[in-house]
Amino acid sequence: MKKIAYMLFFLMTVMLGLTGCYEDKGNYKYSESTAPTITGIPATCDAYFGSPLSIPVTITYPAEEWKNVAYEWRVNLKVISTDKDLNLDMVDLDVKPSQYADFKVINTDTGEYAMVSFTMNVSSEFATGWFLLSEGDGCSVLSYIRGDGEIYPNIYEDLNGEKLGMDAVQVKEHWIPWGSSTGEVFVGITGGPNYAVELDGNSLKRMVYSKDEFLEGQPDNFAPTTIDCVMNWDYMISNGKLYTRYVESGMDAQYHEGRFVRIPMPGDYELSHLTLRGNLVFSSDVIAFDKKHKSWKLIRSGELRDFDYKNDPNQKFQPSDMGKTLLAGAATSVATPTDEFIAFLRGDDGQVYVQKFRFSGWSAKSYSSLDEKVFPEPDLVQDDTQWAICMGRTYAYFTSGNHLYAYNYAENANTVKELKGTTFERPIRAIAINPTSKGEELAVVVENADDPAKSDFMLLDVGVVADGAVIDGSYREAAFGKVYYVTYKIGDQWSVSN
Amino acid sequence: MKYQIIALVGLVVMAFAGCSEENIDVYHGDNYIYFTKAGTDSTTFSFAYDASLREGEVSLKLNLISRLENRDRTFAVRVVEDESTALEGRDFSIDPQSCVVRANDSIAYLDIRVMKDASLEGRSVKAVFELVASDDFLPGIERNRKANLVITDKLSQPEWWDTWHVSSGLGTYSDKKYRLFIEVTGQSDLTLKEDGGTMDYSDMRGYVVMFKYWLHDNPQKEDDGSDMVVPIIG
Repeated sequence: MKKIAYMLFFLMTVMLGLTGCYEDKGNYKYSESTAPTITGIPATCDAYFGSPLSIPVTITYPAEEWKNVAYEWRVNLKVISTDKDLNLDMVDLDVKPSQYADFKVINTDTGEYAMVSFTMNVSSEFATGWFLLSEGDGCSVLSYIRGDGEIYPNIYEDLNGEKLGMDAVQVKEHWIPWGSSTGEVFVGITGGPNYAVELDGNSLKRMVYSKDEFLEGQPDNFAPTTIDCVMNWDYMISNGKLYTRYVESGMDAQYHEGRFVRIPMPGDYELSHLTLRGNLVFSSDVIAFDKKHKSWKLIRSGELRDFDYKNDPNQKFQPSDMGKTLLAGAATSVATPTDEFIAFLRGDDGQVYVQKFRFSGWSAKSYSSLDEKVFPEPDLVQDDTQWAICMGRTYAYFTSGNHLYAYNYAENANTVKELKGTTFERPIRAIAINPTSKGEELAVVVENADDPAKSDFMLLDVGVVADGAVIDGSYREAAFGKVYYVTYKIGDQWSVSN
Repeated sequence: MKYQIIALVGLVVMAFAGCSEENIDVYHGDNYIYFTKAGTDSTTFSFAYDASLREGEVSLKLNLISRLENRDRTFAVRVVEDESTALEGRDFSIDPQSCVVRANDSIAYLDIRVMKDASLEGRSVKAVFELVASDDFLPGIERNRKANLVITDKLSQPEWWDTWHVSSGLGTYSDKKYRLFIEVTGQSDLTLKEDGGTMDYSDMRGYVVMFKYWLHDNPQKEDDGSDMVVPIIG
């Protein structure tokens, strides 16, 4: 038995040795690739539901074998076209970002194919873009510039068949935390008969007149300017007073659920239309400012309260009866569980102050002040100065006449610098930052050079290197009337909540 | 054999009886009228839920033991003064012309106009009515000859003012608070839809908050001197 085992072992060793000597004479053909080259497809393609989409491609065939070819465009592995160039009259794809897409050129003789894959972002028609408000003839005019540059000069009237009321104060996109990812759009209008309106965030069609959202009818002296929706509560400010609406549903809440109480929150106060929000999803606080007493206010759980100065560990400034009036403010960081804010205030002493504070905690967030500085160039801050505050970059842009400046709010900076990338030589009417651009894209609206009743729109690259240079292709000359307000429409709340 | 004959005779008698012609009898007796509700029950009319209400109408249902007739008939009623605390002319009135059973009708109503006199504030009065004989009717079933009407301006804690309200809504019940709540909001019934009422939760909350805000600007005391408070958050 042992002998047999030795014999088998010997034979296997010899066979293994012999295979090592085998010369491979296989019929392999190594040649250069004959697959065509496809160009013209962007790595990421933005499409709008219901709008046309065109992607022309250039195909270079290096070999003659590709005489008979077929084409295939796919999104999420579903064929959407078999033409060479993608030309859709109307995009009818799932509305969601980052969808897998590819284009194939198939050799129908051999079955070989060449393929380019790319990412398809499909948005609703008006998901992201810029809103502008301008003065109309006895009305306010709402305009829109979609992300791809398409202009809608009078979008509210075009889509809703009526003019907006006069005295539109602002356009405010707002969301229900955890609910619908696309926000609704509130247009704060202090004049009647219809006052403020709420628009669907995808179609920009009117959902409701705000005056119809009150229990027992529209409040007295109605002049709605802003709205904020947080978990279980909606807050509207009208004529300086706070109105509340309790929303029973939590994460499955819908817009316009329930009705506002027509009697305002009692008290001696007059709230500014400017409210500040931290993390849109994880924070349920709204920061407000009482113009009457020049005091910060916190709106939380349906109540209006003072900032808790007594328990502020830093007490860098007195948040109530400050003798300072809010000019502008915004969140500068919303990393859960801490929201940090910056605000610019004009003091009764003529100075401009920069305040920083935070609210931190997993449930009821605690207030603490962080800093108060005197703004280094108070004379540049004029009555019509416009502000655009970045999150993620320590800059706040502001206008002063025909000039655009950047204030660096970093801890040890406190400096002001004029942006030299573009010279305007015309009054700057409005500015706003694109919050999804990491603070590097600034919209600027200036008076038109030939017609002061018109406005020019442009996007500036305010990154350090560009210093405010106009982004190619963004300039829209005399495209709008006398604009006084611009803001970016974010679309999906999650794009700014992380 | 004897039993068989008896049975046979019985059957014959029964068979003949089945052939007899009998006229359908109709009611030939007196005509009677009586209240649908027994005299031990009462009907309540409340002025408490609407401060602006100054008068109203109550109809007490009556039934008949009578043939239908194709003519209007009258009935009569008296106020039992020694059992009543309400005063005719002050708290209520009855138009005798309205005490009518319409032609071919088998029911009728006693229509009473009720008035809110200043003396009624915060209290209740009772009027007792008794049917008496008229040309057309005699008083019917004895225990249904009288009717009690309570006219009130008094509130009582409604069922919807439950433990949730006491702890988190309107707070501790008092007639004064309830009356003010009705005055301010115009609402007397906050029964939720899921409990068979008509109120959305959000609206119910809204009315309570509305009252809380009103109280903030118009502070009130309870009868025991304490501040009237509404604990709802908001």
